[in-house]
Amino acid sequence: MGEVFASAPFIVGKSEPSPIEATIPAEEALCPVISHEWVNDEYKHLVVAASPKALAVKPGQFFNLLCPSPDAGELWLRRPQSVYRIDGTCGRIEFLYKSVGRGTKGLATLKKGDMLNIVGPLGIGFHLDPSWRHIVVLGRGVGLATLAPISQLAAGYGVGVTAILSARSRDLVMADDLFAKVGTVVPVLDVDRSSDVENVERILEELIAADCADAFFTCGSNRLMQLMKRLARQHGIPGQVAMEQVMACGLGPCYVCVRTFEVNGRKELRRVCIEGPVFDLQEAVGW
Amino acid sequence: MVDMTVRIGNVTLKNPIMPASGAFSTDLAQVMDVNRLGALVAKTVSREFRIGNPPPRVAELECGMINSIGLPTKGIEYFLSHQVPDYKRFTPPLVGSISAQTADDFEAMTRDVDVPDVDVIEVNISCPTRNPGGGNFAMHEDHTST
Repeated sequence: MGEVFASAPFIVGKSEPSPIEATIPAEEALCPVISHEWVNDEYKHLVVAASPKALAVKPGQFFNLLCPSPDAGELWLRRPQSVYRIDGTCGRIEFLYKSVGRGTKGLATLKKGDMLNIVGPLGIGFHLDPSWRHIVVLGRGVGLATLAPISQLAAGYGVGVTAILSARSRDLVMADDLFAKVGTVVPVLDVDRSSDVENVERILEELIAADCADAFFTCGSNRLMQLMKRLARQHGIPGQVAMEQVMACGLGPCYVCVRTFEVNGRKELRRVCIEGPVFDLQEAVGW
Repeated sequence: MVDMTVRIGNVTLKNPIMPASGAFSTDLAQVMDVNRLGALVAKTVSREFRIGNPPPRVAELECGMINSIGLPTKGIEYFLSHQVPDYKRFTPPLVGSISAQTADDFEAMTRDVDVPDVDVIEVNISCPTRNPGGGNFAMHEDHTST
């Protein structure tokens, strides 16, 4: 057989991995939908069968999803989605997302048995240092989904995890059952004002004083990111933030998905898709 | 296999697939074998660092998408010290792409980019497209005639 030049998506369950492309870390793949359920009025949980390359996804990395259109118009751009759970045993990856725009509303129409076209895994994920004994993750809303895999990974290495989960109300606290399996969960809510920066700061200061904060991880809230950044700087704690941005190609060349960072006093724009989505907390300016 | 080689000047491409500047950067190596391409055309560089446009840089519309990036570049020194070595990890010939504000600087930059690892130089006279001085070189016949 001659050299294969045409590109075609990997079809999970049908295609054989190509030895020619074994060293290429990401791919386009068609993934059968295993289940797709509403978690509450806003969030949906999507489980798909994944290819071997997709299952190699690291916590914090993402896939660029080709979402069906929710209406008569075209949907031109893929939608980036960080992975929520990696189940290597069953060969599945999971996404937890908020149905909010045309892309995610289209994604929400997928039914069990449909095929989801994904490209990935993409981007730079979280780093877990072997010397850390206890980490703190602080997320809000759907940002909690991004923090779930690093929490699971840390727990797997025997690292303690405290997860501060911020949401408008108790029913919108995402993935608290998953976090409860890997560490201590501290929900903070808007309805009782426990999510106020002052209260979250008090919780973080207590964790620092108890020597339970070797590293910070955050996603989903600029307000909470700024708080964590300030405390991390004051106490010399390493930190990482997973950023979001509207993307086009998701691979780097289009330079669409930039955010502002500051390094040695100089502002620069970095691409979230390939220079992130996980960045050093102290270099992130916010949004 | 069909011979698809193409000669441009003294450079031979194994096929005529030469994507536009920056469109198939080394970033694409994460999803494809870029060695299949006939040539690699680097994203345009200017002499100095250009931050590009602030976000948002893209808007999705019913009829397609609009983007305005603003030609971000880390400048010619970074291109030569970092990006050229990055491209030379791959086998296709490398086309460097340069942008300048004056004809004199185009000439000077051409000399600066004329290094052994850059096989061809593309002169980008149509970008950036938003020039407060009234357009760019490509819009003036007297600027582009030889």
